[in-house]
Amino acid sequence: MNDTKENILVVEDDMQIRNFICYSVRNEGYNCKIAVTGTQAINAVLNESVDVIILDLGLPDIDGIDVINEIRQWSEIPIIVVSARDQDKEKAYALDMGADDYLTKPFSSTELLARIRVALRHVKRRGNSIKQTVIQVGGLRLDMDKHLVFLDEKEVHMTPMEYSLLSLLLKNRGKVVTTAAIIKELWGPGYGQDTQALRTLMAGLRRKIELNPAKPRYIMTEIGVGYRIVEE
Amino acid sequence: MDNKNKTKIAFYQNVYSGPLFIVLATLVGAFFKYTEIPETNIAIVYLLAVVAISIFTQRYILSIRYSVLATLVFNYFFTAPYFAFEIDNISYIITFVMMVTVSLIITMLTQRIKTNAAIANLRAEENARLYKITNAISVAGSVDEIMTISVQNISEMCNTEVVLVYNNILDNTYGQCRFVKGIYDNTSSEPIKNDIEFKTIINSYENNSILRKWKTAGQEGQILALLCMPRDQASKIDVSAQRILIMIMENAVMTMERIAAAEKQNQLLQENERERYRSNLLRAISHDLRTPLSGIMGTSEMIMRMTDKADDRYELAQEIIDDAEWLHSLMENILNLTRLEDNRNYIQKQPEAIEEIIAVVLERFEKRAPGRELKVSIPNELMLVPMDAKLIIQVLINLLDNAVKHTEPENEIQLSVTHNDGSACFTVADKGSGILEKDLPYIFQLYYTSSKGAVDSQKGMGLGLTFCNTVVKAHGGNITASNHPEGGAVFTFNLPMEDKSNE
Repeated sequence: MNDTKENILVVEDDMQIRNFICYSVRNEGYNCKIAVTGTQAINAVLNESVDVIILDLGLPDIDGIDVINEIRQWSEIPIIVVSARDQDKEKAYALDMGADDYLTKPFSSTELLARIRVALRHVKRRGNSIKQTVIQVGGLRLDMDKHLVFLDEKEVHMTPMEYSLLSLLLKNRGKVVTTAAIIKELWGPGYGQDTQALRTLMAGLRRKIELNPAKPRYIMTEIGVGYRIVEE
Repeated sequence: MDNKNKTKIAFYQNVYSGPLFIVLATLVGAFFKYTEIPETNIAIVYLLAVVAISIFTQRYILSIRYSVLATLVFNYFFTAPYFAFEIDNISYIITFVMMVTVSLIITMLTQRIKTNAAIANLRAEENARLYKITNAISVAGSVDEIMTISVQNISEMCNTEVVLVYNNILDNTYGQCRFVKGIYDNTSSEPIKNDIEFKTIINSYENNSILRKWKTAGQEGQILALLCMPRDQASKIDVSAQRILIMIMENAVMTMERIAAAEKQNQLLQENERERYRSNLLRAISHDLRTPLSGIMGTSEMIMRMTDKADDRYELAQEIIDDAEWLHSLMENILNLTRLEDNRNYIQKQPEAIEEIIAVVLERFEKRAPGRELKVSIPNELMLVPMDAKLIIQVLINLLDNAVKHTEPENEIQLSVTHNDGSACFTVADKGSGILEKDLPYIFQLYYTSSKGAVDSQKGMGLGLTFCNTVVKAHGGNITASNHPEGGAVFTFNLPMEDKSNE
């Protein structure tokens, strides 16, 4: 076993899909481990070294959601869900349960590899710094100690709500934060599912940090699911 | 017969009870006098007589008259001077006042008891009749039967001719029935076919002055039944019978409404069941198609990566991917179309920011048609439009795909959104050859492909545009296709900014 290679665990019961995912992953220089059932997946995470999990939700033994739940009890390993379930509800549910990313089948291997890179960077970042107080993404910088936001070295004035929203997304950069999670964090759990206030707040924030809100550089919309700040 | 007897008895009571009790009281008084029992007791005996008379006669005038007589007789026989009237004595006046007061009170009380008893009797009769009818109605098999039973009972009760016209809300038919003294009369009535005929008949009855009419309305206030009987007959029936009549009709209509509501509930349940089944089926199909498609696309990508670009196999694999992608978008269109046509509630509208929608469309467009120029213009201010974001994005992608396919690679494509009089107006315009005039009216129809190519030529956009049309219509908007005067096709659709459907 080569220790320098990252280990990707592919949990998928369909052989053809498993094959091409593994091929793509290996081709990219990662180690590929295979699990066909949810139980195998959980055992693999427990007993072997795994850096990223690629998880299909429709498994023969237990539901993928339960696998996420189980793993999240004791591990922060990035989980990328690949699923044929295309409903937004299911996507948001998997993300809220602790999945880091979600790809709907059919997807291209380029897309999958890009998501794996993001996930691995996450792991590295988590290992490197104990506590980050400054987050820099492109020209955007968030100073959490001073509560300040800079865009291309110029300070941007933010309302408290805009600041909370931006820092929530930046802390989870690379990950989709679901609409429900944002609303719960910013307005409290009793606020319900009214997305209008969030859309308005987001529009205000984008006008401060994006040159063209219809072609955002930083905050991407995952329609029907939530928002994500890109890392590169 | 019964009534006559009762009057006779009342007459005898009125005429004879007064003198009888006064004579009795006088005899008892004489006996007291004889046995030297104190005089005061004799006055009480007379008071007793007055009470008895009041109970029996039950009429104020008679009670007062006999209490005066009783006072006089008492005065005459038992107060000194005996066998003569003594008018000046103050105790005489007191006795008189007492007797009159007592007689009045007793009369009043007995009358009240009698009235109450009569009312109770009447209620019992009404209840018995209503109970009978309700029983009959509860086992009735149809609305027509319910109405017939009700009219028959009314006709029987009122002993006259009765006609009922009604609207059977269960299957929205109309009926008419006539009973003469409880017996069905089938001589009349043409069948009522529709709402207009029903209203005409109701009007003609309403304007008929020799008829007395009773209308019964449903919960929403619309007239569901009209009962008529000849006015001269109607004037003979008493208040109580009229009340029962109204109650019977209300009961009949209410029962009908209850059955209709239950039926509706049942239908709704069945429909929900069917809908759930279909939506599960669609989800399963969607799932089962996605998995092999991923396999095909992924495996082809794998082959491409293994192959040299100059190799023919590289291009063949690329073609497999293209076809799989086309199949994928066809599948999305079909599934969404089926869901939409199946279930209007499939659309989940939420206020969405136009800039976010356009950003996602742009991102996908760049992936699907790399290198193509897309000019976007949207309002600077935030525009929130209620929509099902995924479906509208798919609409825009379909329109853009269409534009890409029908234009040269160097042609510019335009996408714009404007705020227009309470609605958001989306436009996709290209600078291609435009749409043939004769295709314009049919372009959104199912499986219509341009007359330029054969109907079965592959990758027709028929379904794509049908999908756009269905989605936009389901949002309460409208989509149109036209040609730009300077050349090129223009697709425009609008979505209402105020969401009326969900409120």
